[in-house]
Parts: sequence; structure tokens; C-alpha cells
Amino acid sequence: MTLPNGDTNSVADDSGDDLDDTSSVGSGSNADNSRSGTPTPRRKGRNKRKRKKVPPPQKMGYKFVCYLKEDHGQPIFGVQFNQYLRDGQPLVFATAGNNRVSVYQCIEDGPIKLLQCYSDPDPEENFYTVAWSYDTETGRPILAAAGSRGVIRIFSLATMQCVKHFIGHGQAINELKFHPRDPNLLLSVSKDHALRMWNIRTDILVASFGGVEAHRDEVLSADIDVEGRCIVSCGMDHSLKIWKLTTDTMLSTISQSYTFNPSRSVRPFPTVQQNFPDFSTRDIHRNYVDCVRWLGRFILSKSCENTIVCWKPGLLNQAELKHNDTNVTIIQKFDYKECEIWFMRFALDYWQKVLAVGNQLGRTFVWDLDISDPSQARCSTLIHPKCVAPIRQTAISRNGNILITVCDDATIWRWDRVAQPLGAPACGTVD
Amino acid sequence: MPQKKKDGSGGDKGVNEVHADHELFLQAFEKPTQIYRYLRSRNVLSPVFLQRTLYYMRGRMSRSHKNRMPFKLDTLLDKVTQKSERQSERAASYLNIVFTGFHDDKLEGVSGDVARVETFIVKMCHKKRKESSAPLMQVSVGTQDVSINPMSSGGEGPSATLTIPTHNFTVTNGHQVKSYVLVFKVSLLHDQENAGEPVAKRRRVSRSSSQDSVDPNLQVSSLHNHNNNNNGGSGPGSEGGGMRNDGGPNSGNGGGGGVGWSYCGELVMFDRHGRCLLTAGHYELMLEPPGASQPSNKASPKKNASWESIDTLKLDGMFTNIPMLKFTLNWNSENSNTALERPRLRPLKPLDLVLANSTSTKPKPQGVASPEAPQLVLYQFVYNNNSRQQTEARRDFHCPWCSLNCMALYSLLKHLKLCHARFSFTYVPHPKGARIDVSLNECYDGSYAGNPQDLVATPAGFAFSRSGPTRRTPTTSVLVCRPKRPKPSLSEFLEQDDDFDLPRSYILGHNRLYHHTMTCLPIQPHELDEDSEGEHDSEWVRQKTQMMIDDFSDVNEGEKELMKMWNLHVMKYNFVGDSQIPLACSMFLESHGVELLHKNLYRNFVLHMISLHNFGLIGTGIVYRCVLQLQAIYPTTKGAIFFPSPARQCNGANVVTITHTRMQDPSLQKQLASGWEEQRRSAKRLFPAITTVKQEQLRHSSAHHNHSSSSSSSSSSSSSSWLSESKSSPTKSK
Repeated sequence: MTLPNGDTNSVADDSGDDLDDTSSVGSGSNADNSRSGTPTPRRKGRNKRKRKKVPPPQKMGYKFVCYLKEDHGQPIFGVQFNQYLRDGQPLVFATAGNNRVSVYQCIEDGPIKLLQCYSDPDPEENFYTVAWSYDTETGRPILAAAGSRGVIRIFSLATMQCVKHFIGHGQAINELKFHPRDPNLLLSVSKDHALRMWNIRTDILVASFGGVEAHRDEVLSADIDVEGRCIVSCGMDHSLKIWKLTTDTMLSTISQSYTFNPSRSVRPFPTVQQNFPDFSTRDIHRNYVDCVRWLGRFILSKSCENTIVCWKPGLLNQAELKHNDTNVTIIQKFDYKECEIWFMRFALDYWQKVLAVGNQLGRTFVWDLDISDPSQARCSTLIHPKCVAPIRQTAISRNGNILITVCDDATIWRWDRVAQPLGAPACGTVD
Repeated sequence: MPQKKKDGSGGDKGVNEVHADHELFLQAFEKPTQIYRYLRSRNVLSPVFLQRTLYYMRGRMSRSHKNRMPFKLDTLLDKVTQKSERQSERAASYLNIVFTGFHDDKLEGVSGDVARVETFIVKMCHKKRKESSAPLMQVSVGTQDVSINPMSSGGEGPSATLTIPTHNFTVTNGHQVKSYVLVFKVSLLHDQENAGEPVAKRRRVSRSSSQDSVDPNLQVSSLHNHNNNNNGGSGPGSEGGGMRNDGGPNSGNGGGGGVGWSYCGELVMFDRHGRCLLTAGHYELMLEPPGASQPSNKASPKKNASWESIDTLKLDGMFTNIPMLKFTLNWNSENSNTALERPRLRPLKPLDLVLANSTSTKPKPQGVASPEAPQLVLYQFVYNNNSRQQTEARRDFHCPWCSLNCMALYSLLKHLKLCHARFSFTYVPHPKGARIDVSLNECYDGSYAGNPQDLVATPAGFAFSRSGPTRRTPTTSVLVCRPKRPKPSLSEFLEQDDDFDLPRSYILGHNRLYHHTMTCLPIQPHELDEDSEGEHDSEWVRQKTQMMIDDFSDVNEGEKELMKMWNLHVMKYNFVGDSQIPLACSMFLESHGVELLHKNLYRNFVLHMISLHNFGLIGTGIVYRCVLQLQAIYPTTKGAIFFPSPARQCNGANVVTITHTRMQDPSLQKQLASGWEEQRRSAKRLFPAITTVKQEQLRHSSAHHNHSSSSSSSSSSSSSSWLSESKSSPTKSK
């Protein structure tokens, strides 16, 4: 981006208008001056804000606070907030890039402070992803990281050690996720076409999702829904697959993984080899699907096609998954610009009210999902003249007040939500 | 060894030449030396193993096996009785503790005051399995007054003697007492107002203190009155403890407020094995200042075991600011309360020195001056194509790289060879002692030769853990190995021919890590003997087969069911030849017969038999036998299932209608037998053609459906003798 600042703003304006046309058709005509809770005036407000960037933005406004650069200069691929820290506790996030895993704290209204940094002994390692959990015995935070070597590393931040590692994946690991209900279950997503679920407490491989009807290429992303019932995974084979965790086999194997004593048994743990997803589709995207998240019963997924699609498997009113179902229902598309490269992740905040994604020119698009009608989702674009490298991932703090984006040039950007002029409830804190 | 470098041969060389020579020397030896220096300091800080446990470090092992030599099983009882006798002897004696002072730098101003020492014996009982903590018994054995910060170590100042009869500590007192701990609680009142306390009061206190002895067996003699009087002006302020114990009014203390100050200290008298740890001598016991944790026996040292070494212990200043109780302790046969021997003042040795001599991980070498000690060990560094040499002389057996005192030449050579493998060492006898030629080991490749399990163990390097003693990997390749060790002789370090017969490694075969085929996880050693991975018939293949059969659109549900059952059956047992098909059929009926009838697939099965027959895989006799076998199952499942009748067709397959009454007709059987023979003959004629069909069926079991559906249609035109006899015309379902 060599354009002067004003030009970039105007570009952003145009993109905002384009977004209107594609994402929320029909709402543009409702020009209304009242500032009630209805979606229309909010949209009006957004337009106003976008036209004049200088005055304090209104709802869903984030202002740039600071940025810092990690000295390795390599892309930072992963960033995650520790969502187990509640309001009043420090805002801590971790980044993964090069052979480093770094833990930072967001100081209130101020800079980012580096707390800890772990470096892999192998300089060839390139960490792609981090995930937070906690030790169920001591309550201490646990950080899991993995990357190109395919080794999952578990860090105990209290003892400042890599306490465990898991090998077994044949290739790089693209994403790690902890089970939302059981902080000991870790899901890893790999280039070897498979997903694995580990019990990090007992060091047991609980299940492996891969094989004849699983992904046919690298798996790039996965997510477990908040109730811990289903995994959705996506990858380079353009497909999205849903795996149930509530089958009898899975449930019994998970509980068995806590009691299994490897030294008492001559046979290895009976890992579930799940070859058959409970739902599979290739109808959503036409390219690599590099990020997927559950949004209630809906799924948000993106490819390198400048859109995040909100969809659900089956017909709109269909509650159960069917194995051979070919139907999908697309609820909404969130369009943005200039994000045609892959391995760009979007993020939802803890309460699933804010959606943020960065593009390859360093801009961040933020949607407020706290609305009754998905078509009314309003997008705002965050621009900084120095932020021009592709934004690999974004992370939003638990209360939604801080947005962190990480870039290919090893920079970390902090954006804070600006005060609500109308006293409207801040996203994610009330409701 | 850059820092030890000496130019042994560089007398007449030019400076440049010397410099170049030095460069070459550095080139050869600098890097490995640096590595070994690093390893040395790491090993000092947290050793991976102890040198003294190595067999070639005999000199460093402090433990002798003298007791093992005369050991006989029969003497066990004698030993125990002797021990108990000794204990009963001990019961007749007394433990005398003479307190000489309580020192605390913080109480500088109250020097000369008196602190009250209350002594308890804590008996820790044997912990029962279900008890979470060992039961404790605490017995107070007396209270004494001790002067605070006595000025001199002379005969002045109050001192008190505590005498404890040792029969308190006998093991055979009914309780399973494991260990005895002496606990001292020091309470003081550093209140200057009490300085002018009347003597009578003090007397009362002293009386009360002697009454404190809970155990009537105990005799507490207090010298404190006498000494107080000697002290003159310095009045004691130690009423607190006594008053409290008496339950009397506390008013006399004048509200000094210092009563609650109590320091604690403890000493283990007998450990859990009944060994007496308190030997006679002068003791300076560190006391825990007030507010610190209770005199507890909770924290077992085992819980957080870690290597400690001198360097990590911060001992400087540890003993300076800590309250200290000084006393003299002796075991005596009589109740001695007269002899009060004051510790003599001795010049203090620096603490480091004391520790280095006593508790260092490297025990004080005992064999330094052994008769075989040579005069000199010469190290000759050979480098630059064996042409250059530098010589270094030492007068002891310290390893030059890790400063380990090996104490003998053999140990030194063995240590050098095993621990510094980047070099190669050759021993050359020398008139003045020994010469060791050091050269770079060209063969050293640094490859890992240890247990492969250690590499994958989590956490990484657990086996090499430096955070304390840990459990190693659950496997060792060698359980017991008693090889014939050659007698330690220096000749093994002499220059050897290449094919010198070194002791081979004890592990046969290779030392590799294996991985599970499905999960790629490393195979744990205890899983090695079990072949967990079957080659065929994986669950996913079974599932996929069923799903693919379900996807057929030109086959009805009953046929699909039978196909699934049959294909899975064939996959499971992996039948590979025509000759095995009859066996496959009967096994199929054994395992799935009931299920067949349950699912109402009788006719589908018969049709399947016929199509197998049509393709020449089985003869008519087999068909007949199988059908009989299936019908034999019928009576056992009677009532549970509905046997097919002409009125009710099975699962949509309008096929052969054979009633079992007809099949059991003896004349029919005869006919069948002859037909079977005929069929065998014709099958033999057809053999080449059949083989291909069979292979297709077995290898691509999923393709079976084409085969069987086509065969079901072909069965309608079957010319088999008994089928035509049955006069039923099977038709294809669709």
C-alpha cells in the first residue's frame, strides 16, 4: 500500500459500499435518522463514520493503540487470547511465529508487554498455531503450540517449561483447538489429512479422524462447538466435514482415556479410527477452506474468495445431521476485499458477537454480529498506514474490547474498542 | 586445553612458528575441550549420575561391603536380640542437654535476659495405610530458662540442664513409634520493665518450670536460679511460658507484649529406622523465627526431591541472622547435672571449606596418597598428523577436563576413555609415572546410542531430568548381566591393534524405536510383543464395504443384507482358494445362521449357494449340506423367527421355494449325491475359467454384488439336476 493515507481511506469507503451491496442488499434504502435499536439507523451511523474517518467512530469502532514487532521478522501465524481469564484478570494472549511462542499481556489503555517467550531448539520449526487451556488439577494456564514439525508442545506457563510434547502426526500441524468442555482434550489438525484428539493429561491419543472418507488433502482448520458435540473441519480439498463426538464409541473412549493405564496393558490404547464423517460438503467453497468456526448451530467458514460464509448443514429447519445429506443452507455471506491468499484466519470473540478478519494488505474487517438479522451485520475496516503486510490471524479479548492482529512481517497490532457514544451496551459484556 | 597450553618443545622456535603451532593446537583441541568444560559445570550443578557408583571408580565409593562378607541368614535373630539388648541398655542412661544460650541478633538490646525453652519429644507413629498422616504424640519434657545472647562463652550466664531418661525412646513401649524428634520452643519476653522483678517471683517461676515436667519419670533439674543469682543485675523476663502453663494470672508480666514470641526448632533424635542421629557434642540449632511455619513434620523431603549442590545453596548469610539455640548434648549413664562443660571458642573455619570437606558431592578422596600413586601423569597432545606434540604434566589423578579426582591411574584412564570420547587416549608407561597420549578421536560421530525410548518420552529428556531424581524409562534392555570382566589392568589402555577384542555391547540386535502403523505413535516397550496391527479386515474396511453395498441401486434390501454378511465373512477369514469355499459356507452358517433366519434371508442364502454352484465354486453336495445346516438351525430358533413359507416371500426376493420337508426326502438325497459327483467332474473341466471368477470375488469383495446379482439371474436357467427336480423357477427380483 503506497497510497497516501487519504487515498486508503477513500478506498476503504468504496469497499464499505461494495460490502453493502453484496452483503446486505436492500438495507441501503432505509435512510433513517432515528438512533433507536433497529438495525437501519445503525447502518446509517456506520456510513457516516466511514465517510468521515476523523471524528470518533461510533459503534463497533476500534482505534489503533500500538504495535510491536518480534525480532525474528518471520510471519506470525497464530494468535490467541487466553479466554479463561475473566474480567479483572490480566488480558493475556500468545503468538506463534518462526520457532517462537510468545506470551504477551495487554496493559490497560497502553502498550503490550512481553511476559514469556519460548523458542524451539530446532531453528527449522515454524509454529503455526497456539491454543489455551488450563491444568485441571492446579488451575494453572497451559499453552499448546504446534507447527511445521508436527510436534505438539505443551507449555506450563507457571513453571515456564515445555512439560509435554506429542508426536504422531506425519506432517505439519495447522491448527490446535481445545475442547470447550474438557480442557484436557486437544484437537490437532494436520497436513497429513487427518485430525487427532489427544488427552493431554494422560498423554493418550483418543481418536484420529482421517481415512477413506475423510479429508483428501491438508486439513487447515477445525472447530469444536461450544457444547462439545461436533467437530467441523475443513481443508485444501475444498470440503467441510462434521464429526460427531457424541457417539457411544467416542464417549466411552474419551472416558476410558482417563482411566487407561498403559503400563498395566500390553496392548496400546484403543484409539478410535474414525474414517467416516457424519456430514461432508464441497458446496460452500470452490477453493482451499482455511478457516472454520461454529456459530451456534451455524458454521462460519472462509476460503480465499473474499467472503466468510455462514451456513448450516442440511435444510434450514433440519435439526439432525444426515450422513449422505447433500443439502446445505447458506445463511449469510460476509464479504471483504483483497484476501486471496490462503492461511488467513478470522476470529470470533468469546461471546461470538464480533467477527474479525484481516486481508493481505494489512486491513482488518470487523463485523458486529450482535444483531437480530444476519443481513444487517455492519462491517468496519481498520486501517493503519504502516500495517501493510498480510494479517494472518486476529484475536479478540474475552470482553471484546481489544483486537489483536498479527502480520507476515512479525508485527503485532493492538486495536482497542472506542467508547460507545450512545451508551449502547458494549459488545460481549452485557446481554 | 587452551589455558593449560605450554610450549613444551618450543624452545628454539621462532615466535611465528610458535604462534602457528599454537593455532594448530587450538584447532585440534579447543572445541572438544569447550564442550567438556560445559558438561563439567553442568554435571557439577546437577549430576546425571554419580561418579562413585561406577564400577571403575572403586576409590570413590565410600560404601564397603565388609558387612556382607560374614553375613549369614542364621545370624539375623542374634542381631535383632543384640539390638534390643542394646536398646535396653540405652534405657538405663540419660540424655543430658545443657543449654548455654539463645542467640538472636535482632534481640541485641536484651542481652542477658532469659528466654524460656520448652522441650518436647514428638513421637511419630507408624503410618497406617489408610491414614492420611502419621499420628503424632507430643510430650513436654521440661522447661528451662536460658540467657539471651550471653556475652561470653565463659561460665557466666544462666544455663539449664535437661535430663531425659532414654527409656522414653525405647521402641517396645506398645506404640509403633517410628521416629523421635526433639522440639524446642523458645518464648521470650524482652521487656526491660521486668528487669527489676522480685526474686521471689523468679523463684516461683522456677518452681513452676520444674513442675512443668509432665512425665513423672522425667527429672528436670534447673540450674537457672543459681545462675540468675550469679548474674546479678540482669533480670529475667521469662514468666510467660511458666505462667501460662500454670494457668495463673498473667498480670505480672506488665503487659510487655512479648510473651507470644516463640521460636521453634527441631532435631531428629531417632529416625524412622531407629538410628540415633544425635551424637554427643555442642549443638547450635537454628530456630524458626516467630510467624514462620509450625514445627512440622509434614513436608517430607521426598516430595520435592531435587539435586542440591554446594553452588546452588546460598549459605552465605544463612546462619547470620537466624535465631540460634546453643546447647551441649551428651548421652550419659548417670543423671549428670553438675558437669557443665562450656564450648570452647575455636577459630571458625570458613563455611565453604567446611562444607566442601564434609558434604560435597565429591567426597574427600581417601586414596590420594595410595602407595601406587605415581609421581607424574604426563599428557601428550598429539595433533597435526601425529607430528606435533605438547606435553602437560600433572601430579595427581584429576581429570584435566572435568577436574574429577579419579584417585587411581586405572580409574583416570577409564574415565577419560568413557567420558571424553571425543578424544582418544593411549597409555604409555613412563619412568616417572605415566604418559597419556591425547589425540582427536576421528571416529567420534556423536550419534545417540542410548535407549531410543528416552528420545520420545514426554516430557522430552525426562530420562535426563535435571530437576531431581526421577523414574527412568520403564524399560531396560538388559535385566541382569554379569559379564566376565577382565581384571582391571592398565594394559587395556596401551596402544591396541585395531581388532582388539573389546567387550561387546550387551544388547543384541539393533536399538531402534518402532511406531504403530495406524497412529504413528511410538510403540512402548511393553507393547512390543503384541502385534496390534492386523493386515486385513480393518473396521473401516468393513464399514466402507457396507456403505458401498448400501449405495447399490439395482439390488433389493434382502440381497444387500446377505451381501454384507457374506462379504464381511469372507474378508474376516480371508479365504483364498476354491477349496476353501465349502468351508467358508459352513463357517458362515455357523456364525451367521441365526442372524440369517432372523433377517428372513433364507431364500437369499439358498440363491447365493446356487450362484456359487453355478460358477463352479461348490458342488451340489455342498449346496445341499449347507441348506441342511441352515435348516438344522431352524428348530433352535423356532418361535423366535418366522420361517419362510410359500405364502410369505423373503425380503422381496422371489426366488427358489424349497420346503424343508422336500429337502429331507431320502430319494432326493440319493439323486443329489449322484448329481454332486457329476458336478464335481464338470467343475474340474471348467476349472481354468472358474479361477478368474473366484479371484475377482475374493479380492474385490465389493464387486461381489455384480457377481451375485448376475448369478441370481443365471440361476433361473440353472440346469442342475436337483434344481430342476425341485421344479421351482427362480426369478430375478428386479
